[in-house]
Amino acid sequence: MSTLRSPKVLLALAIIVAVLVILSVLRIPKVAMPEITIPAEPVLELFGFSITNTLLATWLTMLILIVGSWAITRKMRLVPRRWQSALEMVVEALLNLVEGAAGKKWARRFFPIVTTIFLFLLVSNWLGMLPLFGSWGPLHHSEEGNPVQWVNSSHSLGLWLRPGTAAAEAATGSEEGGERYALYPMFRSAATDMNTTVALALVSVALTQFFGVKALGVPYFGKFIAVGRIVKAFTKPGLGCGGRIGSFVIGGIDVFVGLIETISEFGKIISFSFRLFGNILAGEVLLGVIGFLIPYLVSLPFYGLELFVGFVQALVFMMLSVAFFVTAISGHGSEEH
Amino acid sequence: MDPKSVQFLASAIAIGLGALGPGLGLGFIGGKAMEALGRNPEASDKIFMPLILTMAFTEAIAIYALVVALIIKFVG
Repeated sequence: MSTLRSPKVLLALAIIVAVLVILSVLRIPKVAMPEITIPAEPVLELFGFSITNTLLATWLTMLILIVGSWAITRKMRLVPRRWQSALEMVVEALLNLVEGAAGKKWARRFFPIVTTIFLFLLVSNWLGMLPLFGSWGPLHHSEEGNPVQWVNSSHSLGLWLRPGTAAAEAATGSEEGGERYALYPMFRSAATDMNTTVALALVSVALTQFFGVKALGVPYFGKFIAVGRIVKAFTKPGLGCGGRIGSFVIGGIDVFVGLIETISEFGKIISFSFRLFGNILAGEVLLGVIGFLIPYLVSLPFYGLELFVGFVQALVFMMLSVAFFVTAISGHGSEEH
Repeated sequence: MDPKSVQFLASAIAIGLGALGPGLGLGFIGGKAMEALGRNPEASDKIFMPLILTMAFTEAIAIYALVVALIIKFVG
C-alpha cells in the first residue's frame, strides 16, 4: 500500500499526466487512421521478386530463432546459466505437454515439428507487437491517401498525417492540389498473411496423414474409404442372410461417415488457417483503430490482450496439431472383429 | 440503398450476429469450468489446459465472422 504512494511512482504518474495534457493542448499531429488491407503489401524488389512486408517479418522471425538458438546452445554447461536455463524450461514444458497428449514413444517424433510451429508463431506474433511493425514504410502516391508533412526539402522523409487536421491543412496548402500518399508498412506481422497461415495449416494436415500412414500403414486410409463392412457383407463366408443385410446397412453408414471425415480434413485446413489469421489480423486492426481514436494509454489493455492472444493462438495451433496427430495414429476405435 | 451503405450494414450484421453463438458458447464453457473448479479446487491445473483449448476453438467461430465482416468492409 505504501509503495503506491512512494515518491518514485507519484513522480512517474505526474510526468505521464503532464505529457498527456501538454500534447493535447499543443495539438500535436493526430494519429492517422491505419489502412487495413487483407493482402500483404509489397515493399521491396529483390532479383525480380516483389518482397512483401509479411515476408520481411517472417525473415526477421527466422533470424531471431536461428541466431538465438545457435547463440544459446553454443557453450552448453551441465549447470546452465540464464539463457540456456530459460530455453531448457521452455523445451521441457513443451515436451511434457506433448508427452501428456501423445505418450512417450510418439511424443519424440511429434515434438520437433510442433515445437517449431509453436516457437515460430509465438515469436512472429509477439514481434508484431513491436513499435517497428506497421508504423513506417515507403509512401506511394494514391488517390484516397493522406497528406504528408515533409521533414527535409528533398521530400525523402515525411510524417503521414490525418487528413482534416490543422497540420494536414498546412502541409497541403489547400484542400485539393496537395499530393496524397498511402503508407505501406515496412514490417507486418507474419500471421496476418493468409499465405503463412494456409501454409502452416497444410503442413499440419499433411503431417497427420503422414503420421497416420506411419503408424497404421495404408489401412489408415480406410478411415476415409470405409468399405470394409460392405465388402464383408458380400464376401464373408458363414454369414447368414440377416447378418449380410445388417452388415450392408451399417456399411452404408460407414461410407457416409468416411465421406464426412474426408470433408472434415479439408475443413481442418480452413479452420487452422482462419483461426490464426483472424485472431492476429483482428488484433492488429484493433490496436490500430484504438490508437487512432485515443492515441495514448487506452491502447495498453488491448496491447496486453494481444500479447495473450498471440501466445494462446500459437499454443492452440500446436496443441490442435498434436491432438490430430494422436487421433491419426490411434486409428478407428470401432473396427469389426 | 446505395452499395456503400449496404456494405457498412452487411459488415455490422456479419459480426454482430456472428458473435452471438460463440458468446453463448464461451459462457457455457466458462460456467462449466467454474462449476468443476468449485467441486474440486485442487484439479485447477488439470482443468486449465482443456479450458483454454476449448475456449480457443469456440472463439475461432467468432473470428470467422469477424474475418467476413472485415472482408466485406475493406475489400470491394
